[in-house]
Amino acid sequence: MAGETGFPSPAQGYEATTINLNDILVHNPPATFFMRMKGRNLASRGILSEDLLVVDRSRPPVAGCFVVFRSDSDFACRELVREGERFALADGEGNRVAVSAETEIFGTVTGVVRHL
Amino acid sequence: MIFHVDANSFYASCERLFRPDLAEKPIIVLSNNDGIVIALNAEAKSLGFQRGDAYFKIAEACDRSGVSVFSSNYTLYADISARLVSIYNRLCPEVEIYSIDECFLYYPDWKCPDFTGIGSHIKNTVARETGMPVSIGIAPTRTLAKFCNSLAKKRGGVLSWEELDQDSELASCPAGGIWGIGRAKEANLRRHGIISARDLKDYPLHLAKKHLSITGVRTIQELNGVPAIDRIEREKKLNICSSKSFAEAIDNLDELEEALSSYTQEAVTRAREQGSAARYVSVYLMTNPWDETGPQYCAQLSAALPKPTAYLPDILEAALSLLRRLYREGYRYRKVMVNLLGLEDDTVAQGELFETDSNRPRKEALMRCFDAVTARYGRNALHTGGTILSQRAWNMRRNFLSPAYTTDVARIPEVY
Repeated sequence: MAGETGFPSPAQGYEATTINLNDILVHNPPATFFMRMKGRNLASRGILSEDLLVVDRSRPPVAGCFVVFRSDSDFACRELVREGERFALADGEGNRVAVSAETEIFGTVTGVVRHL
Repeated sequence: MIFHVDANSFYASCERLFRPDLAEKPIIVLSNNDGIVIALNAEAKSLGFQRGDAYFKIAEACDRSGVSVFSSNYTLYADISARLVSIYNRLCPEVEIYSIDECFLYYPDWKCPDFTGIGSHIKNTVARETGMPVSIGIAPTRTLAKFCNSLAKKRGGVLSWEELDQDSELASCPAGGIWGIGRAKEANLRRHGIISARDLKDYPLHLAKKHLSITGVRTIQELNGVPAIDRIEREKKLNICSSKSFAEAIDNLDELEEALSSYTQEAVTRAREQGSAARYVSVYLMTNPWDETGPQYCAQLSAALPKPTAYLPDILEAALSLLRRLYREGYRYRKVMVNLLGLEDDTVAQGELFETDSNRPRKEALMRCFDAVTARYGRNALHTGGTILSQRAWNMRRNFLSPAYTTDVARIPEVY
């Protein structure tokens, strides 16, 4: 902000706000949770161990999405794939688990953040 | 129409969100310093545990019956609470926060509205977006909305007064079950022949004015569908929240700080009036969700105070530093809110053998003066300037504290 005295800044009115990653990654703040990927289950699909997952619970999961779901007493992340009339959860190695009525999907992964 | 929205077993439900292994398992949440049980879910209740149980007495029983025990994690609860509130604000034009897990939502009375449908939509949206279970009571007054909610918890989660067989529902509820009555007043009502909520509703107003307190009269009016309670009143609050929507949007930090200072002062004054000290401060900043012309921003942060305090400058500094972290340029803000959480009796908080704060006597003298001036000249007679909050250590027993799953990037849930 320009001071009380002197010339007003010539840039006044042209200030840009800094780029905020939240604006890019988070579409619905109350429904968005961050989670940490552990292990190489999805390495061949481009999600590596220690990646930060942006999980949006309000984004409906469709085939081709990566979803976080409850797997026994842990959370797991897999790709939702279509198998004819039904859906399955697939890791990067070709292992699949059928989606049943008991499957509790936590949310859809809408972004991945990784330090290089 | 008034919607009362209440999260079911709020603290326990928060603890379960990121613990898939605890689905359908009993959960107990302890008070500050792990003293007593302050929250428990239905599964823990069915094992015979109760609110108010001293933890040291039930620790073994918890172990034996596989109950998961947690210290209160207000950082997590405040974040989840703020998520619920921002969803309510998106779905309803007027939201009033009553406590960390309860809100009143006010909907205009449209023609032929499907209020139950709106209620289900709110419930389902909250469940989908946050995973939290809420139940909703819908009625023309707050008292009836709370009453409907208590029934809704056992009947699918959404219940409207208009769909009920009203008199028979009230007849099967004891008068003490109605909001604002309580055990002590129940005994007094009994002397006047009022046993059930229906007796209370049908008690003649002229007799009520003679025999009951003003709150009793208001409750009767509310039971008859006449809104009579316009300000939140409660004996002793566990959290105190102060906020107002600005008449005109504010976009600069200085004015927001000024507004927040005055709300914080109001909240601290209220805490001091009931003899409470706060453990946590939470600040909430939002734009106007109904303004479609500008960009939207809505965020909340909370901080733990080094120890429970009712010392205004300390609380204010914590609140302001949260606001500075929340603030982003380029938005037209509509509302700033401060919430004091984890309130406990100030006397209990002072009971320490070795006083570590050497300024304490001076702080207390200053606040005594503040109280006296406030009492004599009104709440806005004194104002604060700014000071700098120094880094201070945490010192509370929280042996069973869950991680700050949603607010600390080092503690976010893991996925395999």
